[in-house]
Amino acid sequence: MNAKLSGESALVRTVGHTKAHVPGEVGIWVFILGDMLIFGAFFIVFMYYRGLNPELFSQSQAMLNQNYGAINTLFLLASSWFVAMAVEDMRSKQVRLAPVFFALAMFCGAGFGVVKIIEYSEKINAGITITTNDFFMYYYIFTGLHFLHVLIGMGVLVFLWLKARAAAKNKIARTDDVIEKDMVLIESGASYWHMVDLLWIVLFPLLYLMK
Amino acid sequence: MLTLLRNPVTVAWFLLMLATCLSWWLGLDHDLSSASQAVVDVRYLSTGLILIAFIKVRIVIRYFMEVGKSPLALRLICDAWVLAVCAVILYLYWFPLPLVATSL
Repeated sequence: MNAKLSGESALVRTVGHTKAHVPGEVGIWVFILGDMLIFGAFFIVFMYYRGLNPELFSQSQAMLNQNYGAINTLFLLASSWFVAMAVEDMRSKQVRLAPVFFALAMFCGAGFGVVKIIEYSEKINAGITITTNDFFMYYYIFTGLHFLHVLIGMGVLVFLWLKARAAAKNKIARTDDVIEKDMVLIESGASYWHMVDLLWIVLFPLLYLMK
Repeated sequence: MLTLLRNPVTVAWFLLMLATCLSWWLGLDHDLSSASQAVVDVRYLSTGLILIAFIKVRIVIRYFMEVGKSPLALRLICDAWVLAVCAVILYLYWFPLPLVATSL
């Protein structure tokens, strides 16, 4: 058993991690870093306007349900972990659990979507919209744009799940070349999904918690 | 299954979940004590919440996105983003700017 385990981890190390390596396509990182710069600017703009009218921002924030923000953070973190586990499994010669992990990741992503829709409808039913005030304008724009990222990410996860299923069905041990080629796509999609998680981690305290 | 649980990525995930619950609790706790103000300066609480968030962000970047194993340039760019955005957020929180830059 031990010999098998150390053999497996040695394989993980030899495929792609013998030297420093950029996960996925270099192009996806240009996109990810660009997106992070844009959201970074959003966070700063939000803080600037918050500083102009802290009372309004605090009163408006008190109308948000922190539980929704927290549950959604947990959903995205769990989803990210499932994706990370799937990526590790995809590095092996014989894929086993990756399709299950990607499916669980999609389930958590869908959970995020359901909570978000419940939250939006509660707000809209209470008469709180994008025109209510500055705080809610930023709330709807930032969470809306983030939600768009989640939706795109769900599409990416479907694609990764199909790839993983095809690899798992293949009973012949995959060659290093096949694994390398698959990993570029898998790591690109996974990195994007982790970025969606990362942006929400900042939005959560910024919009829901900060006093 | 055991190797899965001993994986550094799993440890990272566990810490991230814990940090989220801590932030959640800190956020709720203040709501209850808001009547008896000035027990703790809320500004320290908010600073803590922002710092926790950016520590979480760095864990996601390092362990989930596997930037920890990537070339130095990417590691530096990511760390620069974390430091710069976190620092500007905290600066604007403690020292709000007056309404001058309308072009913002």
